[in-house]
Amino acid sequence: MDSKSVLSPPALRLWLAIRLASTVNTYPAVNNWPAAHNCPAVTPHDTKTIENKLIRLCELLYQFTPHVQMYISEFTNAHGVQLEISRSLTLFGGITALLDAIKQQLQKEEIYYNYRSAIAHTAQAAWLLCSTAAQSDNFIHQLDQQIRQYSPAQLRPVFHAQLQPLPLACLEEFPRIVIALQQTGFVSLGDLMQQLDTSGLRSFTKRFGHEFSQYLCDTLDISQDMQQPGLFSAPVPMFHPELQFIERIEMEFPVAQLDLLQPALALLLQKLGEHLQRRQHQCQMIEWQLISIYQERDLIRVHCDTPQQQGNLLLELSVIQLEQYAFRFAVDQLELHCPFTSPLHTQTGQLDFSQQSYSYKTTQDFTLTTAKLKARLGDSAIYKISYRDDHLPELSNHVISYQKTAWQVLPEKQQQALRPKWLLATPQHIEQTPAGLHWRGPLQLLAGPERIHTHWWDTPSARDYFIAQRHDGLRLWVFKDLQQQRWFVQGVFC
Amino acid sequence: MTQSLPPDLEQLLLRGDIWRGTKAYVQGDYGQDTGHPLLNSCLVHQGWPHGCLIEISQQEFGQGEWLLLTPSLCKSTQGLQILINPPALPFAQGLLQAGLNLDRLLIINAPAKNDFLAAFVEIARAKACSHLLAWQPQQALNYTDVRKCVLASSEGSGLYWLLRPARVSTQHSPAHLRLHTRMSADTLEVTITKQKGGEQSLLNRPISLPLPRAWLGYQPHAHLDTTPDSRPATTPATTLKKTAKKSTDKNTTKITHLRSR
Amino acid sequence: MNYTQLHTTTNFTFLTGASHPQEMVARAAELGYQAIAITDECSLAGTVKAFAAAQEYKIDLIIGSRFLLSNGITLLAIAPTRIAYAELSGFITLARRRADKGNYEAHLEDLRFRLQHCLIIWLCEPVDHNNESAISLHADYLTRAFKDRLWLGINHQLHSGEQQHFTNWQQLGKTWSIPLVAAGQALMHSSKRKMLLDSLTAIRLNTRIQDLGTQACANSEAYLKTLGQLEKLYPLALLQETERIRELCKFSMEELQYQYPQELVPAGYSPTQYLRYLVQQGEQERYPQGTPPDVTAIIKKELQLIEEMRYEFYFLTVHDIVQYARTQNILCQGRGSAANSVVCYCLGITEISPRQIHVLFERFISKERNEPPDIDVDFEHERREEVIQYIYQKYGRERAALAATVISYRRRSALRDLGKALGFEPALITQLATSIAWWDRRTEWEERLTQVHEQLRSDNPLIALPSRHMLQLFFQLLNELQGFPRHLSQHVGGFVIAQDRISDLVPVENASMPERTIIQWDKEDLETMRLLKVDVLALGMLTALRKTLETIQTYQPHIQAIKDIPAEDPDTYKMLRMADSIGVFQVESRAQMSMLPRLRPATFYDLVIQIAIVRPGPIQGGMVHPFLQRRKNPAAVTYEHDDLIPVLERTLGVPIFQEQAIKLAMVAAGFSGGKADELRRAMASWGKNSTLENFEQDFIGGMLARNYSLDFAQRLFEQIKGFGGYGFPESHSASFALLCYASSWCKRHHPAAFYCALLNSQPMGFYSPSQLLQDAKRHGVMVLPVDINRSVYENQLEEITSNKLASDFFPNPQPLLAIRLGFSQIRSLDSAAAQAIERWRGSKPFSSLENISRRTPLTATDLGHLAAADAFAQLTGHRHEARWQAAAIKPHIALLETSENQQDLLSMPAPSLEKDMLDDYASIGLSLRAHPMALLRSQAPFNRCKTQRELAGIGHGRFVRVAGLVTGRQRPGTAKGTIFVTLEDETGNINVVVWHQTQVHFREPLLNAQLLVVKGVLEINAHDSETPVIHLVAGHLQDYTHCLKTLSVNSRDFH
Repeated sequence: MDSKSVLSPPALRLWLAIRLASTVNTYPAVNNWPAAHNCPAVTPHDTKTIENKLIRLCELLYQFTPHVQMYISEFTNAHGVQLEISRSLTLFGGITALLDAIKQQLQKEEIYYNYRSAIAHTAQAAWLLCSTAAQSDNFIHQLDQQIRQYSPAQLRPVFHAQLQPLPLACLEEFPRIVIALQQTGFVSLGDLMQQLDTSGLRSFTKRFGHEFSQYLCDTLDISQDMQQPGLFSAPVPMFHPELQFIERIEMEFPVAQLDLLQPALALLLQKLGEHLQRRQHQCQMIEWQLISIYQERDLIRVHCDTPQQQGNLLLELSVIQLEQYAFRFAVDQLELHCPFTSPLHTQTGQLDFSQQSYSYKTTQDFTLTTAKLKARLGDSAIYKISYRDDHLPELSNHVISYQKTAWQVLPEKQQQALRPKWLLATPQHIEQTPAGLHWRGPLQLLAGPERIHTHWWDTPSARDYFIAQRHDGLRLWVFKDLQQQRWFVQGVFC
Repeated sequence: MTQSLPPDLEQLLLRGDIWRGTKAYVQGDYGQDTGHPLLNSCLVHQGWPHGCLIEISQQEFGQGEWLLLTPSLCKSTQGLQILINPPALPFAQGLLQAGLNLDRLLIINAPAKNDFLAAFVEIARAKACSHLLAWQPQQALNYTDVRKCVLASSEGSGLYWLLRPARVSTQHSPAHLRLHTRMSADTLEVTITKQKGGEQSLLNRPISLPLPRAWLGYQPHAHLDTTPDSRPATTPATTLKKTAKKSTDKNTTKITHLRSR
Repeated sequence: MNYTQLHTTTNFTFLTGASHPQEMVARAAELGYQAIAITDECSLAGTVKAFAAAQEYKIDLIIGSRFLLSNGITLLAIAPTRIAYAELSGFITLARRRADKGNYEAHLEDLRFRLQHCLIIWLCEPVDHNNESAISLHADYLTRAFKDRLWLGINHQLHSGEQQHFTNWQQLGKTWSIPLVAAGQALMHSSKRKMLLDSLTAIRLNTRIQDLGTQACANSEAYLKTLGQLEKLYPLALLQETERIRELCKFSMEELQYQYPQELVPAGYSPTQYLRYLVQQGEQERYPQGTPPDVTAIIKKELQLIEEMRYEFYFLTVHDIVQYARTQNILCQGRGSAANSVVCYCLGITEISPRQIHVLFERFISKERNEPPDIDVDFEHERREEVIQYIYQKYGRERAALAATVISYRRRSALRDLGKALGFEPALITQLATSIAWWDRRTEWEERLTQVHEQLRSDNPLIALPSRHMLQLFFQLLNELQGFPRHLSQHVGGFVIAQDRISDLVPVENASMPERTIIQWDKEDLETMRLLKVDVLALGMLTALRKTLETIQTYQPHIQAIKDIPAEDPDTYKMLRMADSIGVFQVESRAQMSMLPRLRPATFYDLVIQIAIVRPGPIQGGMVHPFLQRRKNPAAVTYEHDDLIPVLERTLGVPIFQEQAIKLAMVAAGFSGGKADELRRAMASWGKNSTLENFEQDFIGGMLARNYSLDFAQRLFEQIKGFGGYGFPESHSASFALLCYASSWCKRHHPAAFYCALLNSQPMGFYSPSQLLQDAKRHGVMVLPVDINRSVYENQLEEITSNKLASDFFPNPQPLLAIRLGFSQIRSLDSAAAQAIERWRGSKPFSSLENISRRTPLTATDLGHLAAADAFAQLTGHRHEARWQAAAIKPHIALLETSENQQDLLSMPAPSLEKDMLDDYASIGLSLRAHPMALLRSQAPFNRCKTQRELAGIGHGRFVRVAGLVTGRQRPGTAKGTIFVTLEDETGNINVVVWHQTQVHFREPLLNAQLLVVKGVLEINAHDSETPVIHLVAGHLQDYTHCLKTLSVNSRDFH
């Protein structure tokens, strides 16, 4: 096989990779490969937040080139984006100018503050080069000139030279193969290239599989099977940004009463309903912007507990909220924003022919009632009671929000215990007179003691519980605090 | 009245609210079983009337309200059971033992009277609420307030109880049904003070409902096997004076009565 | 009011009860109970410990057990008679054998047929309207099954609703006429154990204490109550009912006599006649020219005592097992107190003749002690399993079972579990566990924990750390938890053999290993219950010796067994005197190696002393120095009194052996043999109980009666007290000395065979394969690497033409043989494949990797492991090429063998020496290429460190710096806190001494370093030994483990 290099794509491709400084860069710990700069805060490595972050980044960079794609490494949590910038060079006047423009754009948002970037002839190569020390500025300047005179074939060796010194460990996607290669004496990408020149790609495919050799082809831009330079260049991906729903209506004349505003509200919400219907999305929060002729703006945000696809419940909730709102100015224009929508995951609840469907309708209209009550009485006025497994009665009675589900599993032993249905929020002190216990009348113990002696690790408490009967027949749940030797009423049997 | 009645009269008679001398023609839909046979027999609808305001007056809270209402709360399978202004915290363990579903039990605090009325009306109208227990707020409800509650209840199809302090039993109230409950040594006395459509003779006669065995007391541990099922003759070591054995007097207590209209 | 506690759960219901059986019994006696029943959950594991305590505190013990049946019924079964006991034990065995280890399955139907005599206390659940019918069904069944043996147990714990439940139970009792009885459960002997009880529950349910909620006990009432408290808690009738039950219980544990297996005695013989016959045969074999008169006298006396104590079967059982091993030529040897008996010598159980040591029969069996003899027999550790299967097959699984060992909480395991239960941060728990050394005393410990607490706080302020209060609780609970049993595990080799079913004696349950069963009692229990126990132990050295002898036979046929080894070979003793004892049985430890040149053993009896002298007893008793002084100049030997001469003569007047303490008591104080042995046992548990005082008066009195001076009597008693307990028995030491001599002879005369056998018997002994091979090389034995074409599975000897490796250290006459490492050395290689390589190779060696992959079913991974171990060196040259080719091997794709292979050669260079060495260690645990220190020697600071060989040239007291891999850390109890560290470099092992002061300053490197640089003062004492004993007293330690990169050195620490 002659020594002519096997790599030369026809059209010019120029890739810029931007690698966000992820929190924990874990390369396979092999011959102490310089760990990339990692910032102190340890953010949770969950793909959801990273994806949103990258979408936001793509939107930011969309103005520079339509060809933007996200990249998330499988094994480490390194992530970033790759842009194909060859076509935007003339628009932005060369690589350096483009890089500076991008730098300013990214400085604006704190989470994109520190990043690494590198340029190469393929997306993969650019990404690998990102993980080393940044490409020096004069290399970029030099590249600016070379772009104009060199043909793509001449450019490739320049980038290959960049790749040569990279240690094997940078191939993050193939940790096991990297170890096998290192045991066989390979140290750097240069070694791989040298072996490729001598024994060709087949020797690697035979030993390490197609996926790995395909990765090598993508990185070094050589063709997989025909042993010659790649005849076609890989298709370049396009990026489609997200659209946000904003709708505005102009009133015939400025309006300051709610009922005059209502038709406009209904119209906008109807448009929102169609928008959501078309894109099969649903939303849980909308924002009304009331604008006066002098461009004064008032923002009213309306939440709903359950995600909505139609506007009517949102309309009623908006009306309730607007009833409380004192108009500061006459409304000339009305805007409806719906910033966050989520895809309508079709609930595949099983078909339940029992009354449950009835309850869905009632809960539907009951959310309206609770919304009204909450608006009037405040959030904390509506609640539920849930059981928490604890020996101390006050700790076992847990007040929870009405939207949560109550824990109702009462253990076997507690099923048989004598328990009242009322619990006093704070136990009332009982007088100890020579004639006996007295709490708005003489008390007489009927049953007990039930001894509770627990929580020695935080709030040690020791109590003897009894059922007591007052002179008028009232049945109370009393206890004697064995530590203070004092009696208290904590509940009523009725 | 065997001969066929003119059609319009017939329709009129079908309405439930026509007074027909002693016994109103019952609309046919029976009330919800109260779980206490003695009480059922005294009630016009053999149970709690739907869509009507039922007023329960007590000296103070703890006079058997849960004992009275739990059976009907447990019987219903769906719909929310809402408490407005409960006098103390409902205790999860006690409720779970009785078989109530905490997920359907909602508590609303509306201390101010206007909030209370708005909440009562809002909830009575909501179809989702099958049972409503409301404790009268600090400011006493006057006749017109109760009237509002009655109207709201008639629009709903659930059971609506309004619990009020005993002093109010002397005033008039538009409620369909008015009861008074009082705990005694070994029974719960329920007295019907007003019942629309009910016979006069049933009024003001206390009905005694049995108390659970556990509330009647036991011997202390060491004497458990001596006198089976006897009342707590002596009290355990807490030096309590022996009180006279309470006799269950059936006759009316000193609570004044007012013939309700 | 007479009360009996019927429902007691001890900590032998693992992680449930919070008190030891002894604590329960002691408290019950203290409270004046009539009796106490121990009712653990489907187990009698704690009963013997309770029985021992019951005897001591003079209270009746009732045997019972608690069961939760599969249909939900809970009940207690009490055994009033011996038959009932057998039924109960059988029932527990059935329930346990049905389920895997730790669980059981008991059904109501079993009860009716299997518990015909037991008393049943039904712990009925609270009756209410919805379970009423089910309960009356149970009541019906139980009353029909047990009639008047049934009670209804009432367990008042001041829980809610008890009074209500009582009225229902009373009703139930009336309708089915079942008497009610007080059966309050005691989980603790005192309520102070509540915190521990909750912690145990948290550990059992694997949650934090804070999250237990109502799963923890509502209060701390489950403890043994005073009679006053009981009278307030139960109606009087129920308390009196417990007395009625107690009167029915007649059974006591003493009744558990049992007979030994009968079938050993052939028909027509009585056990004694058969034993005498066997002994006579043995005599002819042991003394072909006729037994000497004194030996026959001893035999007569021994046999007479054996017959009187009816222990014949014991000897016959052991004899039968040893006989079987001999027929299968499994090397075995009896040791321990059995070696004191001539009968055992004649029966071939032990190899020690009365001539060789002072035989003291009382040490073996004594009338006063009335305990069965305890014979331990060592077998080759690789063939012990055959002996165990023989026992199971001969007596059947019903009549033979392994004793149990109780695995209980040690400090570290307690700390881990408790830390988790209290919700401590994992980081804090691991930090605490690693930073406590096992020798730290309690006070140091607390301050160490608070240190860790501060340090963690500073490193990571976010970490949630327990409050001071919580740490206090943690210490208290930690102390209480230590010693608590966690689970039963299998004793290493203790067998119990019975005539009829063992399960009538003690319940048998499944061990973790498949079809292995264990009894629920451990070794001490068996001794307390005087049951026969035979210890079938494993000894690695026996395997090594057999393999060495087998290899030697291939080129010197006249050596077949240990007895063919020429005795008292001077060269062997010369080697030992130079402390060249690595690999030799019993004398290879560091302390022994420093004693050998000072004691200078020259005869077999010197070896017996050598083995016994490096022990806590003689060192603490201050016997070592006087003995060495007297050994150097015999003139200094003096005796306090001339009738002591026969006793102390052989140890130059200095008492060293345990038997000598007993003899002294007999000779000087006139004690009988049995009483003297009682004195020894009292000394062994010295400090634990007070029986030693009354021995002292008798001893001093006896000596004064024989007109010894008072002060001499007191001095002698003190001396004996010092080592009597710990002194090593002469018989034991003698049996070990036999193996010690045999192994040193082989090392001296057949090193290649010796080291090869040691390698094939790993894991055993003190040193790792790498250390053994380095010692072999220093003795001129060549070691050849694993090779695909020359190695077999085992390491084996291989003919080589000339032995180029001149060894300056030790000239060796063995030019021919080298050790060829086998495929067994490759740890990751699948052993079946490794064994088959030789077969696949046959006579034709492999030519290339393809050739191998065609002729053998070796997979790509197997080839990868072989390449990693450099087994293809001959075929492919260096490792990289081997791996490159191995990766390309795809099984049997013949058609791809086109020309394409040639240009498939690797363009990468050969691996560096260092990388090769690291790969060697990674694959076969040792490297023949170079020692890591040799590679590091060129770098700083190692270039300025002296090697082990250079140390001899440097003068005593000079300051020197050394470096090496840490291969051993020793902290002998007798060395008052000093730690001995062994550093291994390319030339040998350096002994480093670290005084307490230096330990405190350099704790971190001392405990955790793998590669250590030590600066200190050299200490060479050559005056009382031929070869100088060299120590380095450490002044400064520094950890250089980071230089080792991926090489991990495991050190043998503290045992």
